[in-house]
Amino acid sequence: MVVSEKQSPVVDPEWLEKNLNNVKVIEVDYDPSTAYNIGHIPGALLIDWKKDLNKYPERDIIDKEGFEALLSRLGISNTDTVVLYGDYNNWFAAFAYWVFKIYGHDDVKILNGGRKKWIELGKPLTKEIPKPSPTTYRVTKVDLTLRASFLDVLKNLRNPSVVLIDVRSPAEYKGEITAPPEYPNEAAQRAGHIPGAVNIPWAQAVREDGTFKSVDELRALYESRGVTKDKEVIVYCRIGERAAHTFFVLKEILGYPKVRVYDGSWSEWGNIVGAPIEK
Amino acid sequence: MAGLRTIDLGDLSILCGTSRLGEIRRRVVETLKPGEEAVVVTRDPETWYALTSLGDELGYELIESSKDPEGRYLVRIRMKNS
Repeated sequence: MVVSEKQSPVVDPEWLEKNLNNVKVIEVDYDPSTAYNIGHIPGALLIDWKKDLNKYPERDIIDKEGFEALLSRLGISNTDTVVLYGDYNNWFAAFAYWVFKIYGHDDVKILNGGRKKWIELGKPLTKEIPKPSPTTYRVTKVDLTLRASFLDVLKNLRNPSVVLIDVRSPAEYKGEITAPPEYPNEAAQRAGHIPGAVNIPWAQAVREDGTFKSVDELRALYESRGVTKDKEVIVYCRIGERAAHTFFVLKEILGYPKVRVYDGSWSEWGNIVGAPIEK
Repeated sequence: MAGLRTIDLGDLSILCGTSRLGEIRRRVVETLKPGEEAVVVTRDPETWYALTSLGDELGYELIESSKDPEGRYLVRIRMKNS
């Protein structure tokens, strides 16, 4: 489905391979040791999701100054076209995309299919690490309308013009598990979902090879579940990365005007005393 | 690759919580003896690439890598003698 043009938020591997010298490519990994470090798209820089996009010691995304420092270090200028891709189904690339949009970098795209598709197609990989000259990146606008807090969600629970999407697995949504056993640090005290949320797992937006489904297929998927363009949409998962993937689909591919990521997600909601829960 | 032990890793692309490296170590490397051979199976291109690239770090030799008609990657490895 992808329009492989500079104006599209999604670029195909074929387009990127021909335009490597015209864009800044950034790989966003959860686990660089089995991704970027063993081979990445030629010229790609690395954003380590855990170290570079998260603030410490408090739980939050990096702040404005942190974003400026990160992009300056990576040699990105305010006018660069940035193409993001990464491991684990482009989840973390989508999260990075969301952060880029919050901090006002307009010209940013996602590689369709991410690292997985690039490898499957046998496209070139290298271990050579670029050494960019630092820039002086400045954030000129911050758009917090893309982000929802716990209180934003709580006060809109019964608002008919707001729809909540839970993009986790059905088992998590139903409260059968709080998190799969592979995620020991993300399990919550309680299982279930936020009252009124519809369950549309993120994977329903992509094909088996990780590429996005067509615009028509995506529109039918979400509209059939009552997620229509006239509604304000809030998406959540466990820690926010899969929610960001669905955010990208709704806002950037389908053009929904009001979409927010509740990045606290279930790891926050399921641990808050008194937060209402449905199963 | 008949007669060799087969280890099916499934799709590790959804298990970011533990890391792919950790899963390969736990489910492949730590289950094999020095000198033992096995065929590791996965449908995930990223896991395939990791398997073919991490032999030195994880202590095995890459013997052969292929893809079957059903789209599964088959990676034959031999543990190094420690």
